[in-house]
Amino acid sequence: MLRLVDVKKRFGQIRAVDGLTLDIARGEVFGLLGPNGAGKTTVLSMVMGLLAPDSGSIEIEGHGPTHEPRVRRIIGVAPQTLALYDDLSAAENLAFFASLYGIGKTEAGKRAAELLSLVGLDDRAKDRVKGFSGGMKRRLNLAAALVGDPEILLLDEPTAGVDPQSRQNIVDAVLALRQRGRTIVYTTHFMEEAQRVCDRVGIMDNGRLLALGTLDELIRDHGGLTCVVVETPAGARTIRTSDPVAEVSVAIGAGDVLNIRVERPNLESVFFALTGRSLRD
Amino acid sequence: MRATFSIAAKDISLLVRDRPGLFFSAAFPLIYAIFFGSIFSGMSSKPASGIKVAIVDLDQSEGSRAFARDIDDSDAFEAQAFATRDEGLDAVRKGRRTAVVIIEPGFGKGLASPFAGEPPALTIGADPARGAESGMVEGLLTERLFTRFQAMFTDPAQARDMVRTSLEQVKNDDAIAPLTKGVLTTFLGQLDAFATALPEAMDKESTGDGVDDGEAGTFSPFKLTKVDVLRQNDGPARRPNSFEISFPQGIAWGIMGVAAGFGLSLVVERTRGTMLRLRVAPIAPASVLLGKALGCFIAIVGVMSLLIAVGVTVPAFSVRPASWTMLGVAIVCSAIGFVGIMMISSVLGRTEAAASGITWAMLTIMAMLGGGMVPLMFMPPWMQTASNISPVKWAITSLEGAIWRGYTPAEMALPCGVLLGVGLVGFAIGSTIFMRRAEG
Repeated sequence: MLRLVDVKKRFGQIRAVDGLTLDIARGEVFGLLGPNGAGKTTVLSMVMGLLAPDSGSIEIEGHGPTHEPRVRRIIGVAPQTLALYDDLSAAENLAFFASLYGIGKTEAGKRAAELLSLVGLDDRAKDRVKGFSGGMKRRLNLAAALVGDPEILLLDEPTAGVDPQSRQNIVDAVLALRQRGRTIVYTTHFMEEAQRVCDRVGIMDNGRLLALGTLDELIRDHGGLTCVVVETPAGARTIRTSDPVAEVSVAIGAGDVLNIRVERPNLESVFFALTGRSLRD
Repeated sequence: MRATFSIAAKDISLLVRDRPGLFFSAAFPLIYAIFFGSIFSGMSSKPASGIKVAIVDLDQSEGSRAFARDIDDSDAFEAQAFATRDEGLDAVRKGRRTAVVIIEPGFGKGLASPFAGEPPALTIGADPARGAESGMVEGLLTERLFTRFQAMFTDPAQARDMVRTSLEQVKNDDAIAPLTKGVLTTFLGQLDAFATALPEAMDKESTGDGVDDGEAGTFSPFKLTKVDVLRQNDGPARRPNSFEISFPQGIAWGIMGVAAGFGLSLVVERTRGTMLRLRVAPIAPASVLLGKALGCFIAIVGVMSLLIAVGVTVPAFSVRPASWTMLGVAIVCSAIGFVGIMMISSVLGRTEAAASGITWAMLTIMAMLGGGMVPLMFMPPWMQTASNISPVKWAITSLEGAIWRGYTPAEMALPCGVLLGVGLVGFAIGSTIFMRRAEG
């Protein structure tokens, strides 16, 4: 569905993207993880056709370059910056963006109603966006990406700066889209989100793809051992093990246990293992 | 094409919902037009450069040519000769000259014998938009005529001839009041007493002390007649009221308000991220620009029409366009010209603050140069010449031509041609830079 081969992009002396090769299958939800400045948005901008790579190639459904209108027709974008008109209502925003895809007024109205329902804003359809909270705007931003009924969705930090309710709503919407077989590229620095919605994950830092695989593969290969934390009157003890069940049994058998906590490796520990720092640094 | 119309419709919706923007596009120009319309008639000041007058010498005598030379040499005037009365009047009507001075036949003869017979006759016609200058032209011409008389008296030979002729005419002219005749006879006999005797006699006659018939006793060394320069249309000839004169300037501010708003809207689209959505949509970048241009064009035409409608329908303003067709042409051409300005301003700044500052600075200079703030007559000559580069000047000229100057299609060609040229060049420059940035 989306193929990037040895894509490079520089801004002056800075290597924003350095030899990125990716192949994302139809219906896959692909998470691109990395801290700010890792190169995620640059990758998406090249996929959108807003930036031309210095070298390498990008293809969507076998078509390229991506600035051709027929390629753009199958792409939906929810940019990190909220791309909405504050003085238009939610429904007017969606109807306007639908018109850019050649969708007629009646059909656009119908689609706007469906999408507003998907993101939980159907009761605010006629309200101007300037009165919306940040989370509501994020949800509408996602809906706007879907007006053209795209085959591939590019979601750049879709939950950045939102309240827990809106975050939950957006994640639910993405899961619903996954159910419908949409291909989604999802950039985030929220590990728990990536773990919930992504089939595969690529971890980027300083323009390079450090690791690529399913969640289980990444955790197995880079996450390290599971930690069993045993608390006794004498204090807490951390045991690193590949067999946490056995360790828990041993601890209980020894008696005098106040609490036992099992900490499985996650994407955070994968990222820490790969870069030596936390994802949110 | 659907995308282009959608973008235009969306931008007009945003303009209508932006209350400060709407104020500067529609309400402010109206306030401007009303304010200046109300004070125009009371305005008076000295212009910074010579008043541009057209001279038509229909007498072609030595005296008339000398008088024309006097005007030409004066710092107060910048004279240009025209062969016929109609040419001179046309130059004023089209706004190229502030006033026309027509030296009527017999002027030289009247000047040579100022105390009897027909006085030297001048006809002046002034641009109705320049009431203050009209009065100044009258005063300055009077000064030049008196200077001419003074010159004649300082030339002994010329003065002797003039005195002999005049004395003869005074004696034989029964129309001259007895007191004036006595004074003139004494004066002509005693030139040394001229400076005091004539003003006293005139003073007495003018207050009615020395003569029964005030008209007969009035002495004037020349005759000055005023003429209307406006083209007579089908209806009765009518001088424009002060609102008809101020509305084109007010409308120019409306045009600038809309152009500034739309120019800024492209920058806002960039900074707020909506431009990204337009760029990733399956439409050509040219559609985005055409949509913006179309929206701006419709909004300018709408604002201009609204202001004209207010001027026409509100009885206090009584704006009565000389030609609705020409007004339509002026509106369309002005809108196209300022769409071009909008396109340039939209690519000048990268941030909203920078774009807003640059756009209004650019438009303010255009307004100043183009007569949108200070009437052109108060500007030094180089600035008046520089005003030709301001689209504001040409927009005002085209509107004046349609509303009260009574321009013909041929006369509208220049201002409209300039505005169309500005529109095309502006669109070309703006879209080239926009596309280059879009690709970069």
